[in-house]
Amino acid sequence: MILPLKNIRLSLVDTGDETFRVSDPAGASLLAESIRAVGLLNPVVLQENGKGGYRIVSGFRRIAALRSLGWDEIPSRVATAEADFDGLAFLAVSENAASRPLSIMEESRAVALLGPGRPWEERTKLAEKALRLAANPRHLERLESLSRLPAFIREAISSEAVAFAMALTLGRLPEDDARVLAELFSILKLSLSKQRELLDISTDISKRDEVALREVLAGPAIAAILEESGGDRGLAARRVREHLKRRRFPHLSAAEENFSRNAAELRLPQGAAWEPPPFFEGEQHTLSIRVKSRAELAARKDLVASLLENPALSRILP
Amino acid sequence: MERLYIDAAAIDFPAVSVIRSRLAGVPVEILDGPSAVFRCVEAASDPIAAGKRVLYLAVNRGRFLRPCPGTRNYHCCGYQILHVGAFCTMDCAYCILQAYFHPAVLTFFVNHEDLFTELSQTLAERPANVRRLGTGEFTDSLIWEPLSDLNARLVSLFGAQDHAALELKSKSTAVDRLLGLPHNRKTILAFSVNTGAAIRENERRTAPLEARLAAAEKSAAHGFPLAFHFDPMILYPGCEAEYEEVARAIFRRVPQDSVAWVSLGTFRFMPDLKPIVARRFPASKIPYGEFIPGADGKMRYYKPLRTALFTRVAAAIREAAPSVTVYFCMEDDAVWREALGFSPDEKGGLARILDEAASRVCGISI
Ligand code: SF4
Repeated sequence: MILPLKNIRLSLVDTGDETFRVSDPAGASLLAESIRAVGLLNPVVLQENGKGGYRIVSGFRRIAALRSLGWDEIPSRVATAEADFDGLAFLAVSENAASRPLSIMEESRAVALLGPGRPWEERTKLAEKALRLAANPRHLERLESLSRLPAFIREAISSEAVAFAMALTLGRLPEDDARVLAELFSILKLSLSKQRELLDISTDISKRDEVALREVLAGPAIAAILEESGGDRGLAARRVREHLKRRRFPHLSAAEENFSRNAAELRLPQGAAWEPPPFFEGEQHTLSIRVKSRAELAARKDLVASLLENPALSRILP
Repeated sequence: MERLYIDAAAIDFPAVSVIRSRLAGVPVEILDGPSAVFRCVEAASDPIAAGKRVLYLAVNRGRFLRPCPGTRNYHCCGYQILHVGAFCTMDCAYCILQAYFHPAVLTFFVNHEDLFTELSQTLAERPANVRRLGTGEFTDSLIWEPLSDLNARLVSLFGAQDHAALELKSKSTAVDRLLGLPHNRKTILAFSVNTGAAIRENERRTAPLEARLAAAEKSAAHGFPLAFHFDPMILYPGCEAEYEEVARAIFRRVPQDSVAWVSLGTFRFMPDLKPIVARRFPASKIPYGEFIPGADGKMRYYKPLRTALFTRVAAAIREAAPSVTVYFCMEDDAVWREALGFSPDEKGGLARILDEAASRVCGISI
């Protein structure tokens, strides 16, 4: 698509029209620094909006940067109001993809622009050309759906608090539940597998107790944990997980705590450990002793006898 | 039934014409292999429900008799499965068959002469490990009653020998066509039971408990030995008293000397089943119990919870029917000792205990 080059007054550009936006809003200030230093290397692409002004096709961040620098006019390639939407969308996506690696939300908006309403096989070919990547239709369909998620989930993706797969899961939840989870994930910064575990366990509690997920996660107990952890994310994550596990598996958790208390009373020496049967299901307990030398082994020779004398052992092995 | 699929290899078997006549009006399609049925079922929005609305008649090219797949860590009953078909027209939330077959399609094997040849040969050899056989593992035994005479033939075959018992296990009440047969007490009519709440929440299209007990009473009046399976028992607040009441209700209706055994088993499931239950039975709370992974890879209730329930219900059964054999399905020594006061090994193993019960109640020679 060949478009004439013109100088356009910045005041005529409607920055509220995000029809062709691919880029994340952030990043304009860094760009402003670079433009101040070396000038604007590439003209932006605009389209006449039929109301005497222009919408941006490509160059959202450049225009924000130039505004912050106080420019009045901007060199632009200008399409008419009648120009083909698909052609302009392709141009917007390929310009963005060529200039930098796109974030996941940028990719999502890019896919949403390419051939909306057409079969996914066709859209995949367009995306492969414009984004210069190998794609499959199912993945692109999921990717596109991110752009339709509520703003707080999109923000959580942009800030890397939730990953692609988790964002889609949050999108299927009632909005209030998803909001509480997104906030918690933003605070705890968990890996995807830990996020899944936390979601699964809280979903189970919510279904078992017939309460909303948000009530499981936004109760006073979790608020207190977050407060008491004083910004230590690792500690907060561990304690939230323990709290939920106790709620989900009350009897098993009590048995584990009981075992830990008794095991502590065994006062096992360094290198020795007592393992109960996994989940207390089987009957086999394991006592392990790690040694590096005969001397270390000799030093442990009375261990079993002393354990048999210990009253805590009869609580572990009645 | 929405459609009857008949495998081309099955078309000439006599059982097919019987089923066709009993399903008159149901559209029929003849196929070369199951792929087309699988495709059609998989395309449905709920493939499991779709698999219950069609019937695929096929030839079983493998063995009909298979040992029950027990695992090393738990006591297994040593039962032999007679594989007559697969899946079910009833719809239980906890049904493992939903996750076991991919996809699950109601299937009935029609090469009955092969089945009877294999069965007769095995019975003639009188192997010590084939004393109790049943058809209720991959399907419900009695759902086939309106369609086929297979059960009637099996009852008569077992009635003509004296060293093995057949167990037909069901949540239905379809016993009427069997009552007058020459069963010679070698067929046990077994009923899975549960509390009213568990049935309402988790068992679609099964008979109410009261109707199952009425069918059991009628069967006992015709001299059939009975069995009852409390399986899967589901833990919920107040369930203990309700299960005790089910135990008492059974023995108010049937004489204890007609009962070969009562089994107790709590809900256990492969992890794959959980999302299926959540999707298909959103009101069911069964997946959200306090489950841990068992030694057989299945999820099961945390052991002290199972043991406490078993202890109470076993005591209620013993009080109502002291002579009846009670056993646990896939439990370890610790559970047996705590809930029943002994380990099966002290009595020669679980299979032996059940063989002796079958000898006492059904008169099989062991
Ligand atoms: S009756 Fe048995 S086979 Fe049928 S759906 Fe229920 S559990 Fe499954």
